[in-house]
Amino acid sequence: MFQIMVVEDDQNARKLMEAVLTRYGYEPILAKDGVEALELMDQKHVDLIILDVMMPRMDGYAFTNALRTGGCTIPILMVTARQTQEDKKRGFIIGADDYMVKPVDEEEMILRIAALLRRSQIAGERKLTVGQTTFFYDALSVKTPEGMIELPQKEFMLIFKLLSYPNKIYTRRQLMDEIWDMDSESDERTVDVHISRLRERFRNVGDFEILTVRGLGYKAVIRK
Amino acid sequence: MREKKQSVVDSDVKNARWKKGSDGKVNDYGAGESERRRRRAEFRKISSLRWRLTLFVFSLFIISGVLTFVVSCLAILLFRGNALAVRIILNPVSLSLILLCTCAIFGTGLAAFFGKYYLRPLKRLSDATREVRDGNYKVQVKYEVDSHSEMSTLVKSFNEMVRELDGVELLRNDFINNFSHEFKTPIVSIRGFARELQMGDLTEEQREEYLRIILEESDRLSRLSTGVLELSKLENQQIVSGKSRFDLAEQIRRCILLHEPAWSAKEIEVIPELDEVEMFSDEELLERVWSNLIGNAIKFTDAGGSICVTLREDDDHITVQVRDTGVGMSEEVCRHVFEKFYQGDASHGGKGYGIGLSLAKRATELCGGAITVQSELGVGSTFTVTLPRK
Repeated sequence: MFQIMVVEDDQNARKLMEAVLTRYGYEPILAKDGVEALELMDQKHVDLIILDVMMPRMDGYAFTNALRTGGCTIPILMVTARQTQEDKKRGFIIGADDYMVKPVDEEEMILRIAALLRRSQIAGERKLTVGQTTFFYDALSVKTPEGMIELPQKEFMLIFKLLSYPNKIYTRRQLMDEIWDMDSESDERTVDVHISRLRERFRNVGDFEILTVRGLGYKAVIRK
Repeated sequence: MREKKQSVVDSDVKNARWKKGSDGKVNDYGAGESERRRRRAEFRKISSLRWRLTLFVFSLFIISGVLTFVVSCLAILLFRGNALAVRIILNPVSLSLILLCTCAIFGTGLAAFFGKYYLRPLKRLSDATREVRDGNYKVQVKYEVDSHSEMSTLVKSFNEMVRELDGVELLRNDFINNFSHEFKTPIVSIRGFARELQMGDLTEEQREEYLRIILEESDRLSRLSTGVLELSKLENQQIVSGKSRFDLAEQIRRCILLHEPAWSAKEIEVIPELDEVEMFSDEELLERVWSNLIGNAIKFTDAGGSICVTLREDDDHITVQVRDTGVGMSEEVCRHVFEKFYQGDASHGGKGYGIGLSLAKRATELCGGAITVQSELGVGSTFTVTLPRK
């Protein structure tokens, strides 16, 4: 069971988080400010942190900064009333992994927590499994029922990214920015070419499929 | 495409020349051909205070000189017989003395007399300013309609300024009233129904319904507070904070993706038809506009409907349209839909809170554009945003 720490100074808000997390099968660890949170982290294992920003003694930004400069890569979800773009940017720059503005929709928060945990697991293990297919990030290779295939770097990164967030639509530009260099000569048609190559390669693999979303981009879906 | 944000002051300075004579909200940045021409024209207007003052002093000396001449002539005539007296009078020292005396008496008299006349508007102005300070925004100062003298210009500007202040005050009062009403209404429901629940002895149905209402009104409050904060921030903004060059088509695409959970949950088909257009404007502000329009389209379109988002570029403008097959709006609603706190359809009252579109309108205007709507009940709505091509 994942252990999720909630750092929030308002008592009722803390209680609410505890109730919601427990309902969805997580184990909550509660802290009322940054200082207490750091103390608790020494004693318990934490998989993810839900962090308020405006707190006494040590605010969310200072806490995140302390963790990140200390080399800690635990995913942090900032949940705060601060809603301006500047606040969001600051949160991300300081090292938060995701940002939600209060009041949060509980279901959405749970979905985001699940995505963050999944991403963190993938990042930790550097491999991704979909049905009977496993992608090995460090070797740029894929193990299918037919055997091991090695992929060119760009193709591998493309399919890895799409499958890390199945059902999420990416625009061609987003894929280009992340996988190709910013100064690269290639344009968005390059993405199309790589996608068709990937489709060709995994034609016989029934675990997943790459779909084109008209006018928007591509997404990977998992087939059972 | 990843250039630094360019300050907006540069373009304002270049545009100052062409912005002269518009609504006057842009500062006059001084030197320029039109400025020099204006000054030259003013010189020619004798009614200018500066000219009047110069003329006054000039005529003072001339008249004093003439008077001195007349007085000395009279004196010589009087003392015709006495040669010594004539020599005394004709002495340059005594002549200067006579000149000095006539100047002093005549000048002081003139100044005292006309001074009051010229300073009257100044006194009126300082009285009016005191009234404005005390909170009266309806005061206006009378002035002579020879509208070229500096004093008249000052008084005219003062009157305009007070009218502006009055307008702003009206807006502020309206806003405060609407705002507190919009906030208190949901709070009344939440508190009331919570009390009811506390009392117990309710049917299961009633409990369900009251809880649902509490949730609904809480949602409304939260969206309201977010929206109002945004709106007041925008309303206090007069200029765009930072312009940059960016890909508009990509921005719209990402905005559509941001709302994907909502439209895919309702099985609404989103059809983007976007020309590749590069834009130089405030990226964040425009993001607000698209997010609001797309969000509304999703909100007011039933399951299975479709939303078409188009982006076109022509010689003068960039046009973005969000067309939905939703419930549509009546003509009456269309007319008021961009007003703050306006919620057209009572039955959809729970979904909107009336701020989104006035935010979108304000943001569009700050970017130099305009937003319009066309709608038909039961068919759908089309929101069109036109932006200037830079």
